[in-house]
Amino acid sequence: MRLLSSHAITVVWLMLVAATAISWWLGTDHSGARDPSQATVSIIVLAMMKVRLVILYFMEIRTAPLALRLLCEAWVVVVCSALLGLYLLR
Amino acid sequence: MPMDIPLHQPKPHLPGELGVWVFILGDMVIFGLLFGTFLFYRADDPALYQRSQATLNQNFGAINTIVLLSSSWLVAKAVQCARQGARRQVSRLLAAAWLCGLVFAVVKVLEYSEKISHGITLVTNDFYMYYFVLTGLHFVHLLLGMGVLGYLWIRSRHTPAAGDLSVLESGASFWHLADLLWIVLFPLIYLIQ
Repeated sequence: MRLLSSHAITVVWLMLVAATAISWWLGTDHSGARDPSQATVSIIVLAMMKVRLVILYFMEIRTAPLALRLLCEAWVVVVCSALLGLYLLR
Repeated sequence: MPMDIPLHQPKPHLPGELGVWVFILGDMVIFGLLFGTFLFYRADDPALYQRSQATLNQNFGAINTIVLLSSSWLVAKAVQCARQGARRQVSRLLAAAWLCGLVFAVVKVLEYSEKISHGITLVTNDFYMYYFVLTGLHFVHLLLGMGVLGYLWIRSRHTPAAGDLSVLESGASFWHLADLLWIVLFPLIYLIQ
């Protein structure tokens, strides 16, 4: 169990680094071939997925009392929706 | 006795002190509002934000993201090692995480001085106002976090590993908060188009 969870945070770290590289690539690609707002939506969604991984695995909210987990998950959903809404609709 | 007790469902465990979590959640709400405010006003003049953003060094931002992610990973490992009583490992991991914090701070100072030497400050335009205020607020968290990590490091060298884990978990959670906030700030300020 301990081995498994120590392995898990390393896998999460690799996923976070990979997601950062993808975001950086999406955000710095000036080829103009891609729709910039599509790239931005992907960048925001990726960031919020990264945040959720940090919360669940690094902050150990995965095994925290349900109320705390729900508050954290709600924050991710609300902030993600608000950012997407403000970017796309305003 | 049943032999197949589900190991993957441990009892719920609050990682740290309740008070620390109240602070963390409050901070997350405040930053959530700040992120929203930034995008709200960005919509008034996207061209200005775009032009100003183009002067930022995205590589600095990306490097700092990797640095903070790595420091968070080191701190999460330190907490796991502390549970196993591996005291020396805990010290080493915390020291490495603190050094990551230092790298972030040095990159940030380089970045700020590059901007200021080009005459760009808080009052140049709205974008730079948000840039300096948001990254500055985050920088304060980072410096506080480095103080916390420093304290935990000293503590890890003098307290028996079997001691109270709650202090380590509280400090670790605060450090992850600095990581988490940067994960959103980096794309918002440096990347979105």
